[in-house]
Amino acid sequence: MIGMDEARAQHRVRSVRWGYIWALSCAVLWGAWYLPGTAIWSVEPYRAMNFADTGQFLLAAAVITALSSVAVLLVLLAWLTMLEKLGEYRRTMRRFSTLSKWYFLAAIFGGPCALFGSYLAIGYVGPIFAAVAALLYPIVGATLARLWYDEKITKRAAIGILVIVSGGVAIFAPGIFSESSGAGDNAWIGYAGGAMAAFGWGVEGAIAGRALDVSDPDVGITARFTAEVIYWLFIILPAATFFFGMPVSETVIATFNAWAMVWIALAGLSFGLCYVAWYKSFPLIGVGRGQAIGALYGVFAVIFLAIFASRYPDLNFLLGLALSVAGGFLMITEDSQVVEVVRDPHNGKAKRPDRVSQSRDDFQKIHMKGFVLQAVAGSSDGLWDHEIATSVRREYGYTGHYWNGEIRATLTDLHSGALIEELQDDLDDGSYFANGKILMKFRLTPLGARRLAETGLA
Amino acid sequence: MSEFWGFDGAHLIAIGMILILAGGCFYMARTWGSRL
Repeated sequence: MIGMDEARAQHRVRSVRWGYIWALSCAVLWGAWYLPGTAIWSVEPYRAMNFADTGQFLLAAAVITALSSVAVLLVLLAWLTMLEKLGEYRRTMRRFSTLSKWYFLAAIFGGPCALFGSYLAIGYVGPIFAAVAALLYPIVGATLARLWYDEKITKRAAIGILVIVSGGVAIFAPGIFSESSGAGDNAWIGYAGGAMAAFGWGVEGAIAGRALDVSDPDVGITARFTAEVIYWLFIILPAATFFFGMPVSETVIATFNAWAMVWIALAGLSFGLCYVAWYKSFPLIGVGRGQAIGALYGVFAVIFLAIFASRYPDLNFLLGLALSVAGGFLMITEDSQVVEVVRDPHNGKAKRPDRVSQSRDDFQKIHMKGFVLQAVAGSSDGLWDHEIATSVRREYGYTGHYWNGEIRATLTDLHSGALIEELQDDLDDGSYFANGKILMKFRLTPLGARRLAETGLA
Repeated sequence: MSEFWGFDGAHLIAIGMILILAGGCFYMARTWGSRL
């Protein structure tokens, strides 16, 4: 039987470690995405296209991005089905004016700005350039997270971010030079695409952080891609057809061949899951750190491109690799007590809600994170995590170890995001979750009360 | 396969790698809550 102090320390380390595991998983999957994301350009109908014709190239990039986003959405819907969260998706989407609108806004920056920009950069300049250009996104994300959420960026974390970014530049600078020398007159479109990717992904993470505070990450990313698919299929591609007379439907139909579909599907799989991992890491370690560790994708992209496509970077790769890993190491080795709560919990002015909605029929039920926040808000002297778990299981009919774990993960996420704070703890003797686990009693923070009010739950 | 790939069969190994990574991600998502 472990002691209370040891159990407390283990819990803290575990929650921070999982934040970094998800961020690193994002980096590996994101790096892997450059394989199908580049391979698609080398199969029909894109292989035969004349890229000196800017209109044709932009059309190709738009169709590839649109079909990729459809593939991501299909992957994520299958993902939600396997994680038993389709009901949660429905409940989250229904709250458009207070919740899912943030994902619709994030999708504008992540999709038609960042992903489209990245495909432009790959096609016009090259995959290595596309990877390095986007490496600057953590600076945008961390700055906005600091301004909008008062996220704590310690000096150590800031140095880590800078070291990672300088490592990325060291890795890719000669690659950019050699690729750009053969890029032709329209290379500026690729460079603009690279800037769009860095800006778009940075802003997207910071906007999505607001909605992620009060909704499930798996569901949130699916909502964000639902929005992107709507933008592409119902606004951008029809506009390209009707206003600019582009042969959109012909290009889409021509893309329906075996290999193009394989690469679109794999791009959807790798990108969709990379996003899932990215969103899961934010509440646990903060947008700034999540994005910085995610930026290690540059290292994985180079490794995968070298192994599978024989595209080798120069010797400076070793320097860049060392810098990127050192930057990540600087952040990962930060004291977990510093990282455990990534924001200021007292950053809020809204008064504490004084009542909780009572039992509702299925249509009226709110999403789980909102329900948990309301339950904690409604208890004047706090609620134990096992009491919250019992209420959640009863409200949604959830059973089994998996949902116990999901509820614990949700509480860890809310605690790390400073929406709830710990009042008291105890050691589980095996009666609730598992022997030796920490049990915590939570109450709402002023920041949590503010988020409840902002999302119409107070 | 297309000229993008570095050697014969690279595309098949890449497909396998991405599928394995996706499987690992799914396993983590199903179990991480209980390991917290």
